[in-house]
Amino acid sequence: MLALASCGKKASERPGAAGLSWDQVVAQARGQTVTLVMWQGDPLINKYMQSFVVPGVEKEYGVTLKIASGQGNDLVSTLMTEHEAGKAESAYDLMWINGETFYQLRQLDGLLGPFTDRLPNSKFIDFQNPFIGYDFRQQVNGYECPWGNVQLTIIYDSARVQDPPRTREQLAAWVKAHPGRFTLDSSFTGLTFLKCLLYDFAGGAKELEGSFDESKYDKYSAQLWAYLNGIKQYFWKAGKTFPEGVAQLHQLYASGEIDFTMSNNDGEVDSKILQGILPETSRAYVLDAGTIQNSHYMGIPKNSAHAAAAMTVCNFLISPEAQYEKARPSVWGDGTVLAIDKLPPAWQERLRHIPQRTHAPQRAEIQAKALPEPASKYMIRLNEDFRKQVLEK
Amino acid sequence: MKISVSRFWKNRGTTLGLAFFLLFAVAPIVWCLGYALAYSFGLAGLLSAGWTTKYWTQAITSGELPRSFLFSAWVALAAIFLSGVTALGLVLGFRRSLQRGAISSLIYLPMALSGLVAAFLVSRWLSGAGLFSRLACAFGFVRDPQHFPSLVNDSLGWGIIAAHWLLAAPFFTVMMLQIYETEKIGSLRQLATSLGASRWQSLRRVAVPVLLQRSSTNLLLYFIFVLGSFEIPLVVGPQNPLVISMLTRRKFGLFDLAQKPEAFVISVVYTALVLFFLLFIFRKAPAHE
Amino acid sequence: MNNSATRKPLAFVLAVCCLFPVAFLLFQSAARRWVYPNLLPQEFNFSAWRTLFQSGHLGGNLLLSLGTATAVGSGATLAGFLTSKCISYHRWRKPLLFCAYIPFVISPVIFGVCILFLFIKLRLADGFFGVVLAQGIIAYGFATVFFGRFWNAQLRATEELVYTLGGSVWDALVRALFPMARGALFVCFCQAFLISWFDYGIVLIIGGGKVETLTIRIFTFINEASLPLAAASSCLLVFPPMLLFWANKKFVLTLPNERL
Repeated sequence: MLALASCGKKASERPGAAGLSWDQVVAQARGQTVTLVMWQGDPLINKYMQSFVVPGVEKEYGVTLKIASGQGNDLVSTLMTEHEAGKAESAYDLMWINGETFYQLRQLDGLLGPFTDRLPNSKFIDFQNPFIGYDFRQQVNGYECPWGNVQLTIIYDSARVQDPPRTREQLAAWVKAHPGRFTLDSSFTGLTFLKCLLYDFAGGAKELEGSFDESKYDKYSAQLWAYLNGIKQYFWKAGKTFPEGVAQLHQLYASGEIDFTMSNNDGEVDSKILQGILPETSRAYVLDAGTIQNSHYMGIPKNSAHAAAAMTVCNFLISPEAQYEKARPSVWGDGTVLAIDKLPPAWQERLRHIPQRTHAPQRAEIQAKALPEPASKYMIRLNEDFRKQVLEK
Repeated sequence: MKISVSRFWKNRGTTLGLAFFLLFAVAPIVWCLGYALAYSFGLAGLLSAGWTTKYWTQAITSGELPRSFLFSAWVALAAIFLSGVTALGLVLGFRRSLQRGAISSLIYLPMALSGLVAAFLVSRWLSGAGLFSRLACAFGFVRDPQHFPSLVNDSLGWGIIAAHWLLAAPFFTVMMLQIYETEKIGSLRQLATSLGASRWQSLRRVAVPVLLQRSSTNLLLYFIFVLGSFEIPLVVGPQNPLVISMLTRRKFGLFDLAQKPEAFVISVVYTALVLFFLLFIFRKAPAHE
Repeated sequence: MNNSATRKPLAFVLAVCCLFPVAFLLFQSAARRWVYPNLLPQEFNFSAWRTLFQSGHLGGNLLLSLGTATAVGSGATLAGFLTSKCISYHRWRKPLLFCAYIPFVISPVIFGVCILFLFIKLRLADGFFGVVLAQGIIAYGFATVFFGRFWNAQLRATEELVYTLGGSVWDALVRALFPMARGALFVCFCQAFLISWFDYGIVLIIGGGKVETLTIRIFTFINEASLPLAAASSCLLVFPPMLLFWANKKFVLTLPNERL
């Protein structure tokens, strides 16, 4: 429906996209400046990018990395306006994207690819892993480079909440018993939580397998909205408004306004405690019905002017060094996308002995409760309908 | 000879000046309006499929657009009203205090705050766990954050109003102080009193009307600014309803690309409204000196 | 109410109110672990300031804001001064002045959304010049309106006198009009400077995330809930205009739109 006339040069004519060996890509990349656009809502992530990645790519590939702020729908809208204006070269060279953005950008034919097989470090990634090789049920097919893998967790303060709710019924009962102490953000993390509830109403992930099914969506989302509308008057601010993003949700939790926060990163509770942002007594867990595990990726716009340099940045980001650094709770605590058994022995050892999580559940424990993302249209619809069915009611 | 050369250059200068003005002040606005109209009627954009009024129907019937305009107008009216009343009260009640000593300079300080900073401050003061809530808790008025009537991100927009008040009240105060002096309101009141008016009558019948009349243009202009404000609602505004500029930006960047033209419907309606207010201002002050 | 018994305490209360926002910003920038319902934080340190100055970005953000605002301020003031002269003496003065008001009062975000396409076409988006031009259009509208009130019969007579005495257009500008307008030019420059200095919406949309001014940085900090960093960088945004206001009180009365 949204097939666009590819503007400017064809992908195959773009530097670094055709025929060049990796050495040639690296040679072409040297001296170039890459503009990476990403969500900048977390100080730890920003710090990791600025103090580790930026100097790292400069040192290893002679590439200057500039980081700009932007995410999801903003990216799609910017690239769309660029398309409309027939701009030959995009303002961006690299983008941190998630499933719904990937879906839109593939629809717009706005991504360069396939390119991941060109990256030497991609040999460490297990693309057969459905949580990595599929982004919101859509095969990545080399059009985006996996960067991190995470699972949604609920965070609570064990000093205030002794027995946190583990099912949606328990959650409703808890919320009613503690008015004003629970909410979710209206952004990515909150939507992921809604998807988990949608699965729960659907009786599991299997029911929503495959591409978007309007009738199933209507059926289960109606139950979800009824559930939320039944308890939202007991939410923070009586459910009339919701925190804009997860950082605001964390802040409400940290200042004691609410008793729960959430994180799309199962390791975040540890990193936030280490930073002194969350109280020491915080703990993270997943619901009995499971929570969504997904990966985040890096994509290169089809009309990037510095595609070769963007590839070198991707290669750096999936290097064992960068992934190890990123996985440390004191740095970011982001799950690695590398298959540890594919790594050289020394790196296997290091990645297996990352400083242990102390407040977050161990990965192995929650893996059994990991749910795959539903097709991206579920999220797009939930995003729109959450506003209409809950926020505006 | 010199004079005719000067005239020649003067005429050419005027033409150049007007051309520059048309290019950099008028043309961009004409472009914006034209592009927004074209996009809103399906005549521009990637997904355009020719002339249609469906985006207008969609925008108006969904209720979001009227709600957003009403909400923005309420916020702007309340902010201007409260700031104006504060300024009037301070000028009429404490004029001499404001004109002497350090306060005569300090009153300028809040005006150096930007919208973003004012919004940040309001969020730190008036939220459930904000400074005022902590004070209320310390004095035993509330037990916890949810018992504090938080004014941030609330659906009536009190957080937005508070942030605008923080910026506008000092501005209007200083402006009215100046009007008080230039219009010689003190002497007028004295005259009224000597003619038998009471202090209250001189205030109500002389000072207030003159101050309001002389500041009405700026109050109206400020109303237009608040109507289109963005940073303050972004930080302390509710998610429902959204103010005009936030709704425009939201529609502009939605995943559902079919809603993008609605951003331009809102832009057109907003621009028409601004033009209407400007016309009103111009009619009200014919010479606009 | 104006007796001295109430005046002094009132003046004190007002002074505290005026100083409070800045004092609070400084306080917040050093506050750590400030859990509800504590009135004071458990920890005070200046790590936010250290982070800000050590990150190396602050200097860039500051310089960029300063460069953009100076370019917008000077360009808009000069252009506004010269063109407002043409407009003021024109027979269509009123409709032209009406047109000048529009860019000045319109919401920068809505203006940005509508003009983005054109700026991309002209290769002006995502860069310094695009942001300067977009902000400049708004500030130019303001400057034209501002100087619309400046030109009068007396100035016109002075200008004519220069020509009568053999002076050129240049002489009239440099030797008569600019010196007479010095004060107004400074006031206009300061306001146009602030339109750019405080702007967030235009930089956000036209800058496309690539032009990182101080306001963009502050919003990033607010967005990531880094309160001390947001407060510290807010101080940096507020201090320069504060000094300007302190130094030259009268120019605050010209109603810029940037602070919304």
